[in-house]
Amino acid sequence: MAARILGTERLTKKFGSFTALDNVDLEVGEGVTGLLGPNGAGKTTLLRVLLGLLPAQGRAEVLGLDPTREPLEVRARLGYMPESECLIPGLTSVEVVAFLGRLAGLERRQAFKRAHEVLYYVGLGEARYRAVDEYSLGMQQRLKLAQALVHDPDVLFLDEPTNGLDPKGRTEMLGLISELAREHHKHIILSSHLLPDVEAVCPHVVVLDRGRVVRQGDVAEMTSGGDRAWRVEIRGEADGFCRALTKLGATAHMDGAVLVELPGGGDDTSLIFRAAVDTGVQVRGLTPTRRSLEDVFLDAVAD
Amino acid sequence: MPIYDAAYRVLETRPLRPRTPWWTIATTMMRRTLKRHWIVRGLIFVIPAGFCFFATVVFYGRYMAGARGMDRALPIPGGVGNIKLDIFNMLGNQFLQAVGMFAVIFVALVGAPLIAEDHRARALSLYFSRPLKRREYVLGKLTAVVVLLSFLLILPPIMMYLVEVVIAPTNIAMDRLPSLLWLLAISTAALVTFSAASLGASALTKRPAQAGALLVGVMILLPVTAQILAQQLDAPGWLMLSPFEAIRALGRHHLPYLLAFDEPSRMSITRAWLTFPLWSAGCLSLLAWRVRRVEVVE
Repeated sequence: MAARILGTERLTKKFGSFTALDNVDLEVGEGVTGLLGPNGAGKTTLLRVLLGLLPAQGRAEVLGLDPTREPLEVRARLGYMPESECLIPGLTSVEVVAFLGRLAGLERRQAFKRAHEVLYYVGLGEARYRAVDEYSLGMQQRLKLAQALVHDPDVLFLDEPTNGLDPKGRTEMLGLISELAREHHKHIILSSHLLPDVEAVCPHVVVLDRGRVVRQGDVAEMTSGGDRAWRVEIRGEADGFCRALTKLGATAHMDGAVLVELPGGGDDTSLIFRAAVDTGVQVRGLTPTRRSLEDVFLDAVAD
Repeated sequence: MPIYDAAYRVLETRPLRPRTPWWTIATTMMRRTLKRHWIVRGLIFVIPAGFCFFATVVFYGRYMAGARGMDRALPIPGGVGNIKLDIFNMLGNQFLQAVGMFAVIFVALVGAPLIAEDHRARALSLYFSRPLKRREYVLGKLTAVVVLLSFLLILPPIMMYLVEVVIAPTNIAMDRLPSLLWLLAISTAALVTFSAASLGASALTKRPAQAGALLVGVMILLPVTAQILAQQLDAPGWLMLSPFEAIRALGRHHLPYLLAFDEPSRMSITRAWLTFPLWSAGCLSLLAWRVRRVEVVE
C-alpha cells in the first residue's frame, strides 16, 4: 500500500445503545478510496469521527494527527463535502466559498481569488454571483465540492457527492473527482452507497456494514479470482440447459445469457459442453466473466 | 482553469488556522444582514439621527435665551427654563425607556435569523468542517448582533453628550461625563443581554420568523409576569425576570432627575446589575447546548 493517509484501530462510536461504529480497523493510502456501504452502515459517522467532530473510543489517525486531540489541525488540512443539502443562506456562491476559505485560514484577498478559481473549476463560473438559495441540487453539489477545495487541502472527504445529480451531472462530478486525484494529486475518500460511482473512480475500497469493516483492499484484487463464472450464449432451450448444469453440480441462471459457476471454482468447461450435448443446445459463445464490485459488496454484506 | 498552481504552494506556509475566525463570521453576518433588511438599515439610520435631532432641539431650548417657544413643544416639567432640571439625565432615561422596544424589534430582525437559518440550511456542517471552535462560532454571531445593535444603544448617548457639550455656553464636558458613562454602562449591559437573548431564541427553532416572534413574545410577557409575581408574592426578586425592569431601576438610580412622578423601582441596584449577566449567561448556555446538539445531529 502507498503511504498511509489515515488509519483507525478498534474505533467504536455509540449513540446511546446504538453502535454506529464497531471496532473499525482500517488503513487508507494515497489516491482515491471508496467508502462503500448500505445506508446506515456508519460511513458518515466514520468521516465525522475522522474530522474530529464526534468523539469516539479507540484510535484514529489522519495525516499523522489524532482527530480527537488535534481536531482543528486535522480540519485545516482536510476538505469536507457533507452529504446533506447544506448552504449558508443569503450569500452568493463566491461569498460562501471565500467565507469558508477565510475560516480555513486564507486571507481575504486570497480567499476571494481562490473562490473564483474553484467555482470556475467545478463549473459554476457563470453562476458565482447568484445567491446560493436559488441553486438547484446539482449546483449545490458542485458548490459543496468548491468549498471543500478552496483552501487547497491535501485530503478530501466526499460524502455521497453524486446524490441528487442527473446522469450528466453525475458523470461530470465523477470526472472532476478523478481529475482531482490524477492531476492535482489529492487523496480522496469517497463515501457512497452507489457501487457504480465507487467502481468508476476508486482503485481502493473499504466496505462497511452495520458499523463494521467487512472488506477492504484494491478493487482489482477483490474482483479478480472471479473467473470461475462463465457467460454462455446458447441456441436452444435455456431452462433445460440450466437444469442439466445444476444436475452436474454447477450453478446456472439466466441473465441475458446463461451465467454458469463451475463447481469448486474450476476451469473445466467440458461440463458446460456435456450439458449442452445432453440437452441438445448449441453453444455459440463462451466467455469468462469477472466478479463485479457489486458481487464483492453483496458477498461482504451477506457474510 | 488551474486550481493547483505552484504559486499556491505559498499557502502551505500560512498559519494552520485563522487568528480571529469569530471576527470573520461577525463581519460576514453583518454585511449579509445589512444587505437583506431594509428595516435594519432604516433603524440604524433613523434612530441615532432622530434622537440626535431631538436632543439638539431640547438642548437648544435649554441653553439658548430667546428660545421661549420651545417650552410649549417639549415635555420638560417646568419648561425649558427650569435650570434645576438635569436634562441630560432626563433625556438619558427617556432614551433607555424608548429605545428598549426598538432594540427588541431590532434584535428580532437581526439576531433571530442568525442561528435559525444556519440550522434550517444545515450550515453547521460547513462551519465546523473548518478549524473553528464552537465558542468562536457563538462569539462571531454574538459580535455581529452587538455591533449592529450598538448603533441603536451606544451611538445615540454619545451623540447626545456631544450635542450638549457643543451647544452649552460653558464647558460642561466633565460635569456630564459621569452621567454619560453610567448611561453607556447600562446601554452596554442591555445590548449584550438583548443580543444573547436573540441568539438564544434563534437557537431554539429552524424558522427565523418563529425565533423573532418567540423573542418579542418573551420580552413583552416577561415584564408583566415579573411585576405580577413580585406583587402577588411580595418578592421583588422576581423582577429579575425582566431586563426592562432592570434598565428602569438602573436608570432611576444612576441618572436621577428629581421629578415628582418618578417612582423608584422596587428592584435593588445589585439585583438590577445582576439581571444582565444572568440573562446573558442563561441565553448563551442555551445557545451553546443547542449548537452542540444540532452539530452532532447534522
